[in-house]
Amino acid sequence: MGTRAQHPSVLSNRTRAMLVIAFTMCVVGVARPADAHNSWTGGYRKFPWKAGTSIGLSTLPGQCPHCSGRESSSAWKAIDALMYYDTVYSVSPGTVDAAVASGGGAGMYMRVKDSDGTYITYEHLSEFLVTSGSVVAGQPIAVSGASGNVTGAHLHFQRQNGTSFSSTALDLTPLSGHGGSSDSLTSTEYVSDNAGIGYSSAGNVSTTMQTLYKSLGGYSGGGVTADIGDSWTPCENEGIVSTAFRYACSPRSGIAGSIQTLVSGSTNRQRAMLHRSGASSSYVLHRGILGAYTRTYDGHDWVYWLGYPVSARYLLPNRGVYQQDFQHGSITYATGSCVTTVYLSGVNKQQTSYCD
Amino acid sequence: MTRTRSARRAAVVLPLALSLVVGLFALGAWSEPAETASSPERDTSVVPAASAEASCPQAWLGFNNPVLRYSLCYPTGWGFTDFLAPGPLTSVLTRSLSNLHLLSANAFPWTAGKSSFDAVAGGVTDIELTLLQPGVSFEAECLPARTDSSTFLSCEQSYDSLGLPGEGAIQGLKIVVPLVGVKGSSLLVIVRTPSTQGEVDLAWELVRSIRPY
Repeated sequence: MGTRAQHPSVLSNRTRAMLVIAFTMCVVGVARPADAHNSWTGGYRKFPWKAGTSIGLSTLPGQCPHCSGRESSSAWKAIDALMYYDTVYSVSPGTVDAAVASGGGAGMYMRVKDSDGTYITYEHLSEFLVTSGSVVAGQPIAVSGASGNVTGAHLHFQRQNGTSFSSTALDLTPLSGHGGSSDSLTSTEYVSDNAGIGYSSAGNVSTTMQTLYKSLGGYSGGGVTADIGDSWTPCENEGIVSTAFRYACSPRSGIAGSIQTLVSGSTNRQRAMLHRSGASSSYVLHRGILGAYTRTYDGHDWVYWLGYPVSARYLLPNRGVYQQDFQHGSITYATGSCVTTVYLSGVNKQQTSYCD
Repeated sequence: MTRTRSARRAAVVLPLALSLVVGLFALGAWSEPAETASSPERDTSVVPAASAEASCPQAWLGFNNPVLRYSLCYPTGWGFTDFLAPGPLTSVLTRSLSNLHLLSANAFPWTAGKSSFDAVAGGVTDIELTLLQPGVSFEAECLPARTDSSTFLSCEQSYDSLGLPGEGAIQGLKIVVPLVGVKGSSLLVIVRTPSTQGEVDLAWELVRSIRPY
């Protein structure tokens, strides 16, 4: 039997440490979840402003003045974004079809032919950064301005099926490949984090979610729940691609719905709205309970085990503890200690700490 | 013993190196594509909207655009606007210097929410001063061409109620002024004004005061 001196280890402490670091990098690099602020999908962007910035919308799709009798048909599903001489990024791969100095209502505008054959038009520009050739999604193409007929500096952004201003307006939503056939933006404050109004698993807009979304005041500021639970998405661990924050997911039989995360103001931070498919109500998860909900258990997000909320949170009498019920369990949140407890079918399964 | 140790160490180090490479590659693969090319920084500096200039007519103010490198004179009472402030701007954001609106005195006090075309229809003169870069087209609108009676390239375009080229109440006089300080580029001046001769003459006098440098 030898001593340690007679049988030295093949690895020094430094080497062991490097091995651990390298292994960790390998695991993290492969397993890292999609960026919480990911505004990309399938090579497209959802909006033409810098990802992660908060840009208000003064006009939503279908609203006047982008309406019949006021503007030409290609504008009827356009948005007006309150960009103030800011960089405009192409939302799609394509080719610059026209870079026009116009004296008309559109002002200086650029029309890009999307690789899918449709056209994107960016109006009221002040400067072109490109005037011809191919562009890729995310490429800076212009600077917004106040050219043409304006009530102030802004970007008019529309999608159409032809080159003429009289062509048919197309929905903006499919640019991102997300959601259903329409995406009604019910707030004038919209964050470019690829979030939106929740959809049911059938792809229809949930009106109950819209109602709840409005009552919560929409978005304010940037980000979604990236600060909670490691860039959580509802079905991330289920391997469902592109399910960042607003997608329907069916983690297991009987559990299906959609989720919308948001940050609203400084006092109502980092919440989520969840809508169970077929339900008549949507529910908000406040940060404390949401934090616990974002953790995983036995290899799955809690949405897999607990399902969707079936109640709003409520205060248990004389305990200083909130509880929120889910399809297959509940989560409690102690207001003083911020301790959150997840109960699956009545059994205490996990405790964490997230403050509201 | 030493050779064995070296071999065993290599057996550990090689996978370590491979892990590093795989990890770095995988981390990069998850990244959002970088927003390519340079883009303007969000500049918050300003330039004065008006100054007393000896070269300007009496009771006119001077304005210098250091980005597009031109100066001009405009009548007292007229002013640059952001379509928000009720009065003429006292300073102009540098990053907006490639696209400006100079309004006649009767535009003020400005009511926020009013559109520039509606203001013109109501009697305001809107002189839009915009960078015209090489390679930019005019598509369905008139293209300024050289005339015999003016050193400026100009044309007149009318717009319908939807703001599209066509018969309508909005008339746009377009003048192209070559910019000597911005290679290949010009200043596109669009004068939208009601048709009274006095206002047209005043607008032309303003345009003729433009001095590229």
